[in-house]
Amino acid sequence: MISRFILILIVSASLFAIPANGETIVSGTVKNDAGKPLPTVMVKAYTSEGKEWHSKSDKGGRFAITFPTIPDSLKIRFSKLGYEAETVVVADFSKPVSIVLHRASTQLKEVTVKAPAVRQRGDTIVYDLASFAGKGDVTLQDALKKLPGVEVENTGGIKYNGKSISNFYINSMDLLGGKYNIATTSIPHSYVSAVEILNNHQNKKIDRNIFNDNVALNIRLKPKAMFKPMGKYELKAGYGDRLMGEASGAGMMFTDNFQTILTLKGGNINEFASYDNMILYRNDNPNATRNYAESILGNLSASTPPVNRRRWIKPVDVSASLNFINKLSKDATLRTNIDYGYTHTDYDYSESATYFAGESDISVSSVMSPSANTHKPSFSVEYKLNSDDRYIRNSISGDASFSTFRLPVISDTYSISQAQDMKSFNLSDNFSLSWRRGKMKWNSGTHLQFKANPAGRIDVCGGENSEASLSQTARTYSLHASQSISGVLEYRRSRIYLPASFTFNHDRIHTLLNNLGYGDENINAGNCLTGEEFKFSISPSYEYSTRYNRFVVRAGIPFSVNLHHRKNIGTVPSADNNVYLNLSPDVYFNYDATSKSSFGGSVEYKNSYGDILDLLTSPVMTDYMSMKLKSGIISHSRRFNTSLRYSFKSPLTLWNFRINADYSKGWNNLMSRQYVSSGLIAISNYISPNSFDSFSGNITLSKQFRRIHTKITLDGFWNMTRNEIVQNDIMVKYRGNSFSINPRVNTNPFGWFELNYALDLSFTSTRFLGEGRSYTSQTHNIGLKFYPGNKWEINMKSDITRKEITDNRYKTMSLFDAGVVYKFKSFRTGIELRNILDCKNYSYSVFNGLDRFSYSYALRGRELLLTFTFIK
Amino acid sequence: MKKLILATVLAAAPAVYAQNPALYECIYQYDVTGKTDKGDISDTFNCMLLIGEESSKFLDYTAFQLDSVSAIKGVSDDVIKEYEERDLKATPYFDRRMFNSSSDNKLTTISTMAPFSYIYEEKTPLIEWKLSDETQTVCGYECRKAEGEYGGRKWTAWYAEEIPVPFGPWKLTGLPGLVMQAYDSDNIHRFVAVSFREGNGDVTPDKIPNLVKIDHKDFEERKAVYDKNPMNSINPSDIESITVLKGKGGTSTFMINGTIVRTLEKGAIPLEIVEGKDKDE
Repeated sequence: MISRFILILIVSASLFAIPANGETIVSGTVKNDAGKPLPTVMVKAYTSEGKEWHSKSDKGGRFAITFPTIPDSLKIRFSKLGYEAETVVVADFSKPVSIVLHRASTQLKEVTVKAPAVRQRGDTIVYDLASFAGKGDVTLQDALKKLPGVEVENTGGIKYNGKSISNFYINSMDLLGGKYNIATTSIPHSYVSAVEILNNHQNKKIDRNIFNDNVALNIRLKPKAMFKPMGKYELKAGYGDRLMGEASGAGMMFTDNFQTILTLKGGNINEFASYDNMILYRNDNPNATRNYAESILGNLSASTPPVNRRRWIKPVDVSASLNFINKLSKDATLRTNIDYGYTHTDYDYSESATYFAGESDISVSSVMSPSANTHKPSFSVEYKLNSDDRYIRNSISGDASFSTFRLPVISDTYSISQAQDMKSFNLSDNFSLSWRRGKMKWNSGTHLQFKANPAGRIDVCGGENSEASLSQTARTYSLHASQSISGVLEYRRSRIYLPASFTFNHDRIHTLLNNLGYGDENINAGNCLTGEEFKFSISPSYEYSTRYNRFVVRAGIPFSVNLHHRKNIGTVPSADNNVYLNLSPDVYFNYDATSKSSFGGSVEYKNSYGDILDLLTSPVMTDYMSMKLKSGIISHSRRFNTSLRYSFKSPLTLWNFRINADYSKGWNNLMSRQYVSSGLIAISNYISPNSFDSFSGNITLSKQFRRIHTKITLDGFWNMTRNEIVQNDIMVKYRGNSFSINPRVNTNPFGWFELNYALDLSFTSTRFLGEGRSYTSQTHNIGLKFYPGNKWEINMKSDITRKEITDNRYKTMSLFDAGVVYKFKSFRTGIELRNILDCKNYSYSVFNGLDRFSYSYALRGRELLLTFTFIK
Repeated sequence: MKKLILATVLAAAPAVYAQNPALYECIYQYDVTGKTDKGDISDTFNCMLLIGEESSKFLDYTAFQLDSVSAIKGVSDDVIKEYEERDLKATPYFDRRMFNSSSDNKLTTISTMAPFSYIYEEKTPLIEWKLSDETQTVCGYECRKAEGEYGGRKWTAWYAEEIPVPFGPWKLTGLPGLVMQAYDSDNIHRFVAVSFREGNGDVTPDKIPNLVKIDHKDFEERKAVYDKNPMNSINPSDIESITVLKGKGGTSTFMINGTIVRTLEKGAIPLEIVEGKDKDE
């Protein structure tokens, strides 16, 4: 059979070869309508048995085919580009064949097999999004999750090959800065033609020769999504424990010089306000001052069980954002972002805490019903000139936050009401400038920031002693100013950086505690802290890179002089009027072993001194039973960090792999001390040199199988720590081990079926005083989607959690959701049933150092949701 | 300097009047994967085949775009400059222009080794193809398989009889239909058609001034050496002017006497293995 078909033939050049013995020639001419000879006509002779011979006509329209034997029933087909093909049957082999071809009236079909799915040019990898997106995907975020090497975290943060992206661009313009969730959740993926991964991304053009291992993402929109207003609008209604609704709209427009996205959303089904406006990366000065009031008072209602928040939080959210960017010239842009978020959350849980107290443990159990209300307006205006030889950026930004938290606690014998009010204001200006003069490049930066928390307050009343009442206030004001200048000398493949900076901080902190009856004693105490810090630092560093930055090594010796002038004239006075010298050398290297793999590492020795909060010597209470205070001694810690990393990416074969290992050894002069009694947990510190070790390793592996539309990702994480702590005057050395493994699969092998599966397996153990405790947990998230026809989508979801709630007692919980979606043109309608089995509770336990906390959370019951989406 | 660039561009551009129109054009994705002594190469490029009735022209896609823009009457210098820069920044891996005349049985290659551009001719057919009956669909057309050897590599080509031209990418020509996909036995070089559409270009040979005529073997031998380190191979006394254009990721593109010097970070793997040299694998 095969031999019948496999024919050997030479497309003949020797058209006029003389036949050897036993050979036969068929020859002839091909002409057009006008009688002119036609060259380059493909001539194919074939028999009914499937034998074939090929030739083509020459300049004079002549052709000849030689046969080894006389074939039976020979047909010849003549075809030429732009002409109708003709077939003739050859009866007489001695006669030349004459044929006339006529102009074709039809064209050959045009085919474009979509642009190649993946392209790579130098540091840029281009993914054709449509080749990866699944049928049920709506937003850009849905589709990004399907890209090889790309991971979208729960916060919306995007990682490429295990590394968080440093910039997010739309058509190369930076519309949203770090708030790119606005784009990924509101832009439909159908508007995006390609996603570009920019490896070794340098966001300042002037620094483009400087090696950088950042990764950025650029979204290329389809031409049809340009120059016209578009949007995504959604309405949801539902019924469960209460009536629910949600409405959202996102309008947008993109042109070559202008981009805008406007969003408005409100509802009580899902939380989104903090998610939408989350800042996922910052290109600003990271030395912004701390929000002291928040670190002093904490957040009464903060609680994070390891189960998806949407299962237990009952929210009411509103968010709005206005985002514009304008290209002022080829390299200059002006960007404005204004947003507002409101979140109200309610949830219920019970807690049973077991505190280690030497000979016997102390247990405390209670029921809590926290609620929180937060308003957060913010704005930022940024001007940026990013040209090849100059970089100018100024950004003014401000935000405010108004929060109230309620945390009523009901235990077996008493009930307590707790409330917290917080207000914060923040205003800052960042200016940076880079330019080049001769062999030197200069960078200069100015940062001004003012932060105020004028009204932080916690009020508590009720309890075992119904007369008891507690009020704790904290007011803080901070002013930060810094000026830096840095010169870069470039010589051949070496660079010397000489940055110098001057920083000034002024802080004022007032706290006042009025405690009548909590924690066994009445305390009235206050802190009145004021302080200035002057810091001068110089951080010379040397960098050497070989051609194309294949090998880069950097070494620096940052040196700083800090002058503190701080005092606390409160109930327990303390002061810090000292000069601190700080030397923190570091070495970094990166080697691109091949175009696919790179190897890097760093070693640093870090010296750091405590901040003004070390002088918080009078007690502060953060709820009815937690108290903290400091010894007044300035903390000093030294840390030795090493880290190694290997990464492999083969974008064209869709393999990504990364492995990291980090080891730290540290020494502290202060030891933290925890004192626990049945009515009070007090945290403080005292001088006692101690050390800690920590080792962690993680692996990320991802592979895409294009043929079966499958993406497999595997994350592994291992962490080991050794630490010392003093609890109830007993010094305890403890060792912690945690290990987790997280494989995920997304597969869409047939057009009508899609499976998502994620497993999270974790093991945590602590060991102290010769005794070990451990617990394991596993969660399975399974999602199935069926697409019967192009218009329907049926989806089913299940979260299965198996956790150890106390020693060797496991609890398994399964939650199921299901839904149907119908798509029609630009509309999508859906019905969803959440928590079909109507599970009411979720329990788990955790270890924090020596203590164990068991929680039980009330879940949202069965809910029915109707969704209506319109994308224009 | 701008004048020099523009002069080069215009000189390199095909004649404005279409003497030999392209009826169709085919875009090929060209993948190169392999090792050179400087490291691993794994890159993807796009090339363009312009198909006329009697002849074809094959070149890098960016170069083709530049040609198209320059060929349009009344295009502003700025636009041409933009494409010119784009061409320079995206250093073409495929730095050749191939012109195949079927009726003259002649295949012409134009390529550069700065500061000169060279031209050589070969008689077609170059390859003795072995046809087989295996079929697969490439870019919407049913293709048949053929195997042949050229330049020290064994090639597998898939051609579409429905498109009756003896053309294909690079020198992979002479089959009874358009070559839609081709790869060598080591899977180093791969061409695959990603778009076949009506053409609007011109298949007339490029009129590049001062071409140096050279023998095929001689050129390929020198070119293989030159590609390893272009800057070292240039005779300083030949240099009249140098233009440097900074590209992405710290790469630079040079133009010497108006001819692009293609500096490839990891070197190049030649399509043809020149005899007497080790196989570049």
